[in-house]
Amino acid sequence: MVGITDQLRATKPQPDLVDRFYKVVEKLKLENPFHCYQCFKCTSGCTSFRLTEIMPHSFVNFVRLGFVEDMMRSELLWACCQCLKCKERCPQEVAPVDVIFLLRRMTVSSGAEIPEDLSKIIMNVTETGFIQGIQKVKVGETSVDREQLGLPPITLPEKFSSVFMRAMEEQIE
Amino acid sequence: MKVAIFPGCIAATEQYACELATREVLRELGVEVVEVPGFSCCGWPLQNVGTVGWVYLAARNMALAAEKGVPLITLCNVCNRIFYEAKFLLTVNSELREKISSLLKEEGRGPLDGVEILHPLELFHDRIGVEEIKKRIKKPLKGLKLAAHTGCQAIRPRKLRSIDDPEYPRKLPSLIEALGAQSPHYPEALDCCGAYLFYTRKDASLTLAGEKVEAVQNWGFDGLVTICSSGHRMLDGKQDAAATTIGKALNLPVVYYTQLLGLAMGLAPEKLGLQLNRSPVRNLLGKIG
Repeated sequence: MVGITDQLRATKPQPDLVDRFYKVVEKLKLENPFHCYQCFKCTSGCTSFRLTEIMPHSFVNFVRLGFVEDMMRSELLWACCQCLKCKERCPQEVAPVDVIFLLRRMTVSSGAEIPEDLSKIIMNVTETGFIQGIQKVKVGETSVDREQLGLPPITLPEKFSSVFMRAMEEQIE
Repeated sequence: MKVAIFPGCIAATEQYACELATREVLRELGVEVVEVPGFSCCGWPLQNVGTVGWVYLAARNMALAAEKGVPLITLCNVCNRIFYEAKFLLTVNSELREKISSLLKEEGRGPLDGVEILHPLELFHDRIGVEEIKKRIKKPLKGLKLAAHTGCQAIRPRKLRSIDDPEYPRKLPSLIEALGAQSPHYPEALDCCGAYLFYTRKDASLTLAGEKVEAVQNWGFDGLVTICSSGHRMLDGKQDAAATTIGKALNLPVVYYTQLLGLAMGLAPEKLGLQLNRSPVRNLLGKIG
């Protein structure tokens, strides 16, 4: 992730977005990101930091300094694996993972695109109620389904899709 | 005791062995499974896009179980965490609670209060208990050394609910040892299976799964034991793809705890869906005899 000095030179902070961000934090009773004292404990134990450049403490810091839009646009927003170690271990009870997920929701509601595979499984949930259709799985040379294995059928109430679509349109943030 | 099983997407649509083995061992242990038609996704993927959508999905599933008045057993760690998070949000945010209540009414669901969410670790370890399980063992798994993978979402965050110690989870290892096997701690015990990254960073996701399997393999374990359908899908179902991604040979048997428990209780492997596992479980079955 970009360092603080480079970030300060590259763009101007957007303090109004910090207020918008904090309102949601209060509404959803998320841990207060302003209590972070940048000890780096989250990043040092971050699962995704082993494989990518994601730094949870930087997400928290940039957001409270006002670089909300820059963080919303960061590709690294989608590199979090939600192992929740940062949230569990923070000595200040900050939850970097919740900051990252709130940024994801903000970027989606601003109309930005989300990773293709994620958008596919969300489409599947709206259409079938599950992230994918009921699969046939291989056993040796043949394929079997739930019924052949003696598992009860999966059924969804008729009204499911219409009510769920209405829920998706509702906003509280 | 009566329970309902919440399969979640992965077990409902693909990881059939998870539900099969759970049903078999519960029947054997005298726990009645009450059927609840109508379950959907728990809401997890929607957590990326908005709040009302995912909380509605979580709430409708909990309301379905509440109508039957039985605890809900989650076959996926993620679903368990999502249900608890939804319960929390519905308690602290009255605006959200009102919206969700009216949506539930529209679907024809009853009230969402009072449903008990039970993780399989709580069911087997805290309710049924290690001593009771020991009494049911017909084929002790003597001489086997098995690694436990409890999974991130079951143990964190502790503030939300406390299923096991978030830094040193011991319930799954002690349940494995109840079957006569050994399950010592290993340094990578808390390493993530990568399931969450599968839809946003596939390579990183498979690398995490591959490195976890490789570590367990290198410590000389006879196999890896899971308790979550999402984690199992990565470590067993995608073990070949993970091996290709990290460029290593992986051949570690990975089984659900319920499959292992069933085997130790003398149930037939095909009843427990072991023919559906993708990792070389025959190597492990050979050692059990």
